[in-house]
Amino acid sequence: MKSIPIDQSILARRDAIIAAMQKIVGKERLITSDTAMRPYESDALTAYRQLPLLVVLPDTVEEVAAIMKYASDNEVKLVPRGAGTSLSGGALPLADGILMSMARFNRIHEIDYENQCVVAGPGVTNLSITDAVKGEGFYYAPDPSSRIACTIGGNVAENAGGMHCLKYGLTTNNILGLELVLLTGEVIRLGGRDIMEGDLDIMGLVTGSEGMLGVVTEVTVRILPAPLQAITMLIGFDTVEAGGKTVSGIIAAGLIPGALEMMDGLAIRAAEGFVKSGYPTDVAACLIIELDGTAAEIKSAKALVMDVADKAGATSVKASQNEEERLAMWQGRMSAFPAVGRLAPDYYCMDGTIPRGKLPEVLTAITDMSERYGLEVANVFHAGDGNLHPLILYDANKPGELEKAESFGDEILKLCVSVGGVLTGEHGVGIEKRDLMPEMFTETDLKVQQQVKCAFDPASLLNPGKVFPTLHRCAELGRVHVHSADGTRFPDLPRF
Amino acid sequence: MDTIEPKTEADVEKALSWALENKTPLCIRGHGTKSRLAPSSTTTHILDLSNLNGILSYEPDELVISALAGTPLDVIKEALNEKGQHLAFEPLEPLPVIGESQGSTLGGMVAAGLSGPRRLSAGGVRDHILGLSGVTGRALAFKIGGRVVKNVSGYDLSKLLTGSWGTLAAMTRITMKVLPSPPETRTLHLSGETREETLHQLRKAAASPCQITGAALLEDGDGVIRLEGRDDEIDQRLDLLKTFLDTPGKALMTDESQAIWQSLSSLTALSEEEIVWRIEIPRASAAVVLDVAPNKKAQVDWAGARIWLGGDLSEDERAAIRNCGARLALFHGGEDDWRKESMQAAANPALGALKSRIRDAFDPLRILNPHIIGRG
Repeated sequence: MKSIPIDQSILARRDAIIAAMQKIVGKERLITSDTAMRPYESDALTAYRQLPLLVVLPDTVEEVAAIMKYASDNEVKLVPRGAGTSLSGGALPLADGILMSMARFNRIHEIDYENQCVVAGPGVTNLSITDAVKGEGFYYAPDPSSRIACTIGGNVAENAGGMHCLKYGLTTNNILGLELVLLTGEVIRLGGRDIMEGDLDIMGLVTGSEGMLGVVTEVTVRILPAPLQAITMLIGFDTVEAGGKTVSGIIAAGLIPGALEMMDGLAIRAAEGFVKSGYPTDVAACLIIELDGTAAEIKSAKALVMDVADKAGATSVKASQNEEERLAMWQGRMSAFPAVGRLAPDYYCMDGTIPRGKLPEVLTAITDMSERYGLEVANVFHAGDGNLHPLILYDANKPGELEKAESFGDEILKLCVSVGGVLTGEHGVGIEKRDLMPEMFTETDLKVQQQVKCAFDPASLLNPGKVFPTLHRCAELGRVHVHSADGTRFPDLPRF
Repeated sequence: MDTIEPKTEADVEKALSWALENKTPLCIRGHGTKSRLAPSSTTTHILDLSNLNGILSYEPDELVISALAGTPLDVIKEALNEKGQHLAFEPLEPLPVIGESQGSTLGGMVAAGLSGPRRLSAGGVRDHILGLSGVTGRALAFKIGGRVVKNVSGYDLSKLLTGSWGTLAAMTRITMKVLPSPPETRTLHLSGETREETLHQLRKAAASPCQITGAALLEDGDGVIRLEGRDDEIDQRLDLLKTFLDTPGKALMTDESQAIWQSLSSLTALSEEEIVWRIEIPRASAAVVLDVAPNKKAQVDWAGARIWLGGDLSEDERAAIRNCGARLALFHGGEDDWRKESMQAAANPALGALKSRIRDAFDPLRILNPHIIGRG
């Protein structure tokens, strides 16, 4: 289990900090008792629990600015939180940190159909944005599985993806503007109501920065016209290779489906046991594909997919005939996680990305690891973009099993990096993958990233202990070192 | 003026170490096609990266290409074209405007971050960078990202570096996402309406479920809307698009279409203009902006969200455009006004201070393109 060092001097000042927070938000939006803080002690990475120093629920940008300025002036740590659905501990509290919930920023401020955008508070849930505009035939495309609960502010912090991001992009490709509060207490606006590229892309930097650069108090998102029609196809294969070949073949043929998901045998059987979607249970893998657009587009795409699947040796192909069937066919995939959750007392959801072509190789390696660790694993992936979610089954009550599961997970992620992939595709680094960052980045790489953080948070007060394994002090990072790679100095113009 | 010409990525690190040690600012250059879109260089030394040239890997099945930053963009495009793929964001290469004949390098394209008409649907340059390597103004060689799209490992520095005009780091290698080129194109050409009405039609097209990939207003006031796809579905979609519009248009097939959009992504219509402004505005307000200076040559893109305006603008006109809520910046020419405009553009002191601190993080001694301030 990873840990975060605690600053005892902050704990010693708890009463003063509570008094200061009370001055800003009053008594009712301040939570200080252990019992009342308990719901905040974890995010969706439930193996990690930590009560915060206190919980504060601001209502306005001014309050957020005052809280952040106080934290900065008094060197108190701060953890911003949306709905706490992070799967990597991004919203895990710090014992010596203020937990600032953005839940009360839950209003949609404006729906601007003329400019195809929605302006919302960071506490608005992802799904409620689509709900607000679907009557007019629009939707907000990035759709993480937790969209009924996760907040748009949290989506920005994690650069959330979802099943449709293969075709429609991640959060960073779908937001137009942000209002951000800095630790200085200053409020800045980035972007606007439409696409822009004439300015330094700080918005792109902040998206996916896991609550470590500033706190988002308003988000402007792009809404898209909903596709006219959509169908789902369910294709079974008796080898993972055949499934992987089909995925590559579809994309190589020039088709980017709305969604392109894969489940392995164990995940399929678990899902069927749970929701009975009619998935083929005697297969090694199946693809769940969404094709969207006009009727002609779908007909064209369907023919292409069937051709590729057939050539790859698919054992079964089913396509939805109406909207009811389409939704029913998705149920299995949508229920995959809770379905797998029924197979064991606990499961550990991994998140890594690999080049598509490496799918069969990586899956075989995961199967080998499963035998070695003695823990079962079900695989669910966003096959179209190589983003894997191996679900490692374990029992936390068995001594040592959590640690075993973590080691298994670490090994999977190291494998992802070694085959040319990355540590995390959409869940973020958080505390979970923090210590694996050196697998992907050199010390200098990490130094450059931390130097950027110093521009926002010189004292490392925002969500410290997440993402970076070693915290360097900004004074040290800020010093200009002139180094000659080969030890010599350069009086003369370098010639090559 | 002295030119430093590194041949390898390691050479670039050495060059920047030298510059840092000697506190000698550098002007970073690929083919220099963007140099006339920026204030004149004030440095005594040029860092010429054009020798960092070559495609490192191209995997069409994985939709990814990786190349050294000095590789000519034309070479990249040719390699992609051979496999029926392309850079979906349609790089904006305003060669006729700046009077260059040789195209940009990969690094120059990313540093300027200029996307063409298809940014409307496919995203911009910044949305297609999967990874990059470079050397900061502290002479630190670093890499960010990788070769996959779904990646949230660490800060997304590639977004920050795209469009940063070489002020944060000298990029040495870049990995880009590529997509299949659509086999067929159709353009709906709208004419005979006012600019305001045509812009309205462009917005309607963008809001329709027809998945358009371009919506522009030509300098003669005509509108053009693009569809791309497969031949067994595109014409039905074109018919569907017409039902969402209030005015009939003339349909153009693939070849004629490509000429129009090619011209839009090179700003050919403004090639005679000595001064060109770039305006970014929420699309619904485009007509209001155009009315500030209605006699200026204008090319509008992204369903109204980007306007290119030719000719000089008076102080009053500039203020009026800004008051519409637009971001106005000098794109080409009018150098004396450049810094003044850039300074004015930094409306919020907090944002200006943050940008300065970000620049300090990468280049505290301002050795990278110091003549470019508040730009990009």
